[in-house]
Amino acid sequence: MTAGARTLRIVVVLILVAALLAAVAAAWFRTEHPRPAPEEAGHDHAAVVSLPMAPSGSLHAAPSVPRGCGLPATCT
Amino acid sequence: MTDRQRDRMYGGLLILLYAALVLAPVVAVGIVRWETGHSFLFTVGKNLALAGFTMVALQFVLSARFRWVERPFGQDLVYDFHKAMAVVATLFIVSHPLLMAIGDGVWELIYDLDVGWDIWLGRIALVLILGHVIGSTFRAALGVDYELWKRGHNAAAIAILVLAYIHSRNAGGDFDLPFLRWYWVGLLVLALGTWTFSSVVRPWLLRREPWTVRAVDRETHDTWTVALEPPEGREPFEHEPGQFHFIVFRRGRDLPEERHHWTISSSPTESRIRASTIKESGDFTATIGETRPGDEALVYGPYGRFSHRFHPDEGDLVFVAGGIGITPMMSMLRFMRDTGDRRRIRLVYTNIAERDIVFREELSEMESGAAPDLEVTHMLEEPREGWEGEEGMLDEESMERLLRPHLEERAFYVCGPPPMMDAVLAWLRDRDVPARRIHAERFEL
Repeated sequence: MTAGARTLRIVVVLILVAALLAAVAAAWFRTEHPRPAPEEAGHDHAAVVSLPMAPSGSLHAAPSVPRGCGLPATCT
Repeated sequence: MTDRQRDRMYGGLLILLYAALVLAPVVAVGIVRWETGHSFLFTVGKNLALAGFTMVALQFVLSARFRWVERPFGQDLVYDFHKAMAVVATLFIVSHPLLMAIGDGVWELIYDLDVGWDIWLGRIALVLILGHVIGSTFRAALGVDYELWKRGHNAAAIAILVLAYIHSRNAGGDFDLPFLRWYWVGLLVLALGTWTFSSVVRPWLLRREPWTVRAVDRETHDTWTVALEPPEGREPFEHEPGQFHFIVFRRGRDLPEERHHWTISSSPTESRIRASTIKESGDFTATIGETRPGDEALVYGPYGRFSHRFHPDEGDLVFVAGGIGITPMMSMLRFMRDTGDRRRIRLVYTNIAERDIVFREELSEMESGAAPDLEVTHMLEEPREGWEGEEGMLDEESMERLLRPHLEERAFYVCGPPPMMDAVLAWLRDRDVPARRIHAERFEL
């Protein structure tokens, strides 16, 4: 094996592992490690409007949900 | 800092940039977004799609033959990386719906026909990318014509990119983030812009200044050297011996017009001529002997890292060439001859029969010259009666005899048919020759 081919293998494996780790870590932060609720963080609770989740992962033809409503605090 | 150190640092920066671009959307949603309302596995699946789509978009840059991308690595390594990342991206994108289905128990995502159009676009992109990777991996085994495959490959790549973009923008739940929206637009523009440049703009620019075929010389019964010159008033590109260039011959006379890459077999010491020595080995190259002086050609390059000039710390060398794999070695030898480089070179050159030996007389003349200090061993699989050189193929016994004396101190340059290269590289690896002293060039990109 040439030096270039060996380096290529190492780089591919490193990027694969780094992307996997990042995907898992980011998911963990988002699901297993929730941030403070908006009111605890000092947000104006009255400004938060309860809307359904964004069509993220929704299967069926999505109901008419405004774009960008995955994050309740932004759906004002 | 030497040129080599500069190249290594530049190559490292490019790799870091690639990794940063792939990780950026995943890290961004991890930092910025709060709860997703979905399970952990579902969210991992979404995150893998973000990385996978980014990789798909960057594939366009990797395959565009940008010299600023290939310079520190060599085009063959860049293409190998392109192929490897295609497999990684496919794994991520296939995992995407599976993990989402497993995580939230929404198996309808996989099989239900009554889903939104954006989910259908994602499914079509998924099937296309699977077919894309499988087709590319097994193209040769399936006997698919290269030109046909290339056209399909380009069209499918665009379709996958656009379908995946629309799918993710509509079905993805994280695109309320301005960063992600703009990042996705940036990736789309980068990929489509790169494709437009390499498929439309660059050919148009090249057509404006076509090179001219100056000579076509027969080297053996099936091998020709075509000498090309740039238009009046324009200098040819600088190159190192052993590098290659892409050529599109425009000969008219109903002869095919295809882009192929060939080694520059002439020496960089040639002032205006860049020559390639081409063997009739396929549908297109079977017509190479019909090329005539005065024909036009679109030429761009150089590419590749298979040259002793990229390794100035190396002294004496061993060249192992098979068949037309002699061409990069010939360029290096001619350069050494023309520059008075007296280093010792051991050339082991294998062919099927005597009539297949390319550059036989010139090699013989070089052997009797002072620079380089060349020793040539010809090896034939089917020698004639009374042949005085080596017989057979490069095997354990012949490599022990011909190559072992140089294992300790010389660097090895190997180019030829894949089975020969595999045998030589495995033999060198088994004898613990450091990878930095082994250089190989495969003609297939």
